[in-house]
Amino acid sequence: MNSLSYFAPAFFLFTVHIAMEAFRSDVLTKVLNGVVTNPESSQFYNAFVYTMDFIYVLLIMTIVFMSLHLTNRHKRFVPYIYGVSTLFGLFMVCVFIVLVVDIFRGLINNDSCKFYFT
Amino acid sequence: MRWLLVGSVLIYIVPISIYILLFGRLNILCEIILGMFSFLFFGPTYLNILNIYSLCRIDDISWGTKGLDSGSNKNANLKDSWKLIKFVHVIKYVSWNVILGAILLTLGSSYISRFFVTIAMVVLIGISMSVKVLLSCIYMLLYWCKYSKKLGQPRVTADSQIKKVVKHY
Repeated sequence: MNSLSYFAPAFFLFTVHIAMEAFRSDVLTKVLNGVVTNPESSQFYNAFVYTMDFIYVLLIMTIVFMSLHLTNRHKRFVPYIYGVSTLFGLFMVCVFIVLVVDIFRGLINNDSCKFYFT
Repeated sequence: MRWLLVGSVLIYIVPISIYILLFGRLNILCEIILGMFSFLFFGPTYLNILNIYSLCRIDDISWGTKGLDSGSNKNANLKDSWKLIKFVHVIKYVSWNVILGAILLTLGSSYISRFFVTIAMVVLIGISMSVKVLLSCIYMLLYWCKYSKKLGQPRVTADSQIKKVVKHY
């Protein structure tokens, strides 16, 4: 289990990707129902998941960069790390809620899952 | 597949039930449910940020360098070599994660390959969780057989040194 933490950013990226796909299909389609008429051909709609992936990778790479060049007492490093840590935490809670809702809705309705499972 | 995922999470009911049965402490459930949210919240920090920071500062030994900060030529070379090792490890870490992330996202683009990727991850995590659950159950049973009558239920108690540190902060 500890050796898996070496690959934690990649696994977390995959989880975020799956959760954002579920969020896009379950929530965004309903929220943007009157704005996006054809979700399958909308560029904004399709770019949402990859934008979230990009933001996640950007945050991780910035942490690497700042950890290499700054110490933990640096005045720029501390607020950034606290902010990113909070953001990741909220991200994780959101991912958890989205996946739990998706799983239990599938179990209750007994339908074939569209995103996480075939 | 959904049941497999739910089952891999619900396996934690086993040690909790054993704990409640053996020690008769029902409020552990409330602690676990409340603790789950903080665990989820801080999980990415523990797994990502602290790992990355520790790897990126692996050459920083300012916390315990007896005689290494004397500024001699030999020590300067040593620090340079540590810095080089650090950069090699960071590059490896980033490269492996980029490769694995790309593979996972590529495989995740089709439903069938995503199914196998997901089931592999669930099996991997499920096995490690099962080992933890099994060992915790064995530990609790052994504790109950050996020490329960003498010491009561297991408690986390801070010793005097920890209390001093907590008081200081």
